[in-house]
Amino acid sequence: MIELRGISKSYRVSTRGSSHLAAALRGLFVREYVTVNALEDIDWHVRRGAVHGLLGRNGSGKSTLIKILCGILHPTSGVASVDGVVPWQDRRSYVRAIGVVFGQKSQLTWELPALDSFALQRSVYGVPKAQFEETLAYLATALDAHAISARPVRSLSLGERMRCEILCALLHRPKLLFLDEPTIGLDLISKDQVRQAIREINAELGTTIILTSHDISDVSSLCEDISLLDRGRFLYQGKLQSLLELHSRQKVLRVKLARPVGECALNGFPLVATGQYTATLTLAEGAAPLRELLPKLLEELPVEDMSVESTQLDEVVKSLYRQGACGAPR
Amino acid sequence: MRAFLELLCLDLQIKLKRALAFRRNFWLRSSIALFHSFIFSTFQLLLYAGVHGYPGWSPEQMLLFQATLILWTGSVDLLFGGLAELIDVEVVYGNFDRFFLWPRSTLVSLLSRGTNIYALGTVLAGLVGSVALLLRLGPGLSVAGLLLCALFFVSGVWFYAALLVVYSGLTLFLVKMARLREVLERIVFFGSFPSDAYFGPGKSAVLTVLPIALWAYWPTQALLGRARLLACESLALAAVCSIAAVAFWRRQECAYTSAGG
Repeated sequence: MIELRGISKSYRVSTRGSSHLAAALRGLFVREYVTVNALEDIDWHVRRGAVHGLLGRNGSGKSTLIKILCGILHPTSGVASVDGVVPWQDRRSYVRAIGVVFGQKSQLTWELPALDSFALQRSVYGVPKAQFEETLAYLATALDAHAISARPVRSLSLGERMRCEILCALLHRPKLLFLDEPTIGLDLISKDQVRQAIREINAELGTTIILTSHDISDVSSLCEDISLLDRGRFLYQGKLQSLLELHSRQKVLRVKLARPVGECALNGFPLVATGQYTATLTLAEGAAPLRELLPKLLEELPVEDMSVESTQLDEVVKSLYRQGACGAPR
Repeated sequence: MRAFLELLCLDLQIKLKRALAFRRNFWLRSSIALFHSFIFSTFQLLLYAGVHGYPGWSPEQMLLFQATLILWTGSVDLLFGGLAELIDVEVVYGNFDRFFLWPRSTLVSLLSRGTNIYALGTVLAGLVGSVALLLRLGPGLSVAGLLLCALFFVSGVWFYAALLVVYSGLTLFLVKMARLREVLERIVFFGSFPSDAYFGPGKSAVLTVLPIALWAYWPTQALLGRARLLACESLALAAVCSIAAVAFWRRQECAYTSAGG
């Protein structure tokens, strides 16, 4: 569905090293610029029909990548093909096949019921009336949005508004849907409703979905494939399960302590994190490390309870970021 | 053009629905807009009624010029009255992205989103004033004069739209340019006088280089049966300005850097 080859995007940004007035005045005549490489020579493949998670820290290049794929920005170099179309070259015909939801920006008219925005969307995309009504009925059921779409958008909760945003983006039946942080600021119930709807839409309409989120639970509950972007480059692209298996050679041992202990008492343990009454340790795969560690642990620390867990996705992602930050091979 | 008119109607519908969503505000604003338009227009008409003409212009002809100007001002306000503010806000906060997501030209999408329904009062005032003054001036209006007036009027609106395109392109480029709008307003101000009021290079400028004479001067002259060949130069220059404005816009559109994540 999506094929990117050598995509780069750089911006020229002005800088001023000092906060002095003199430096500001100098900047009026002579300005220094730095080139910020938002994306650096990236290749990317997304298969048709997938829910593909795009993860990355703030400023990692996610939004730039999404905006290039939406035809909003032109890359500095590289080639792209989305279903055989170059987004920024054939934008007008291309956007008929995509839907976009930016979690922090709204496409709904604030003062009016969402139904009015849906009608506008129908006219703008030239959707036939019968098809529009059929799609609206289906999506309103999937997103539980029958009642809320008749109320003014300003009176909707964030979760209700997000369901209407997703509905609006799908009314012209796009083949590809970009969801940029769709669960940002939502409570647990609303998040669950949105995720359930995304799952259903993907399964029943076959829409390819690119999901950008800082919420690891969104990605782990929805995506089979993920890509991890950091400082304009991919740290990982592939199956979520493969990433977890790759790091499952390590387990996490969570220990609950009966009383606080000094730092020196914890020396000699492979610690990840400590709290007043807790300690988290890493364990290599296999029973041998556990056999060695357990007697020492029980003997030296006031252990009240403990559990052995597989490595969680958020830990894996953090570890990859750290490796990336240290300049480890990508 | 069809796409533009379609989108324009949709925007007017949405704006009307938005206005109707707050009933008291709608009645209040509509009343104020109508009152302001009529009072201001009547004041202008009364003011010029006291003036004993202008070289080459009788008092009635001056009044017709004023009525045409009010009609033109109302029309551009109705079509594009909210555009400058829209582009300012959308670009600064990164919301301009959504114009790229519509399957239309970004320029067409943008120009169709700046309507101001409350300017309808001014359009009505201008229309009523123009018709009343034409009747007062007596017979003499030909179909050709009326068609020519319509041509100049539409070209004037087109030229104003071109100025807005340049303004929008500059906003995309500079992101924030607080006083740029004042320049635009000043240009509109210069168009509020008959071009005969200017001399030498100033007159040449308003007739050709910056053909603001198309806004009220040439349409009034056409109604009065006094259109000259020089009007063709104004039309040609307006067309050139429009082409240049669109080219400038396309350049800025390609270099657009969206704000925010």
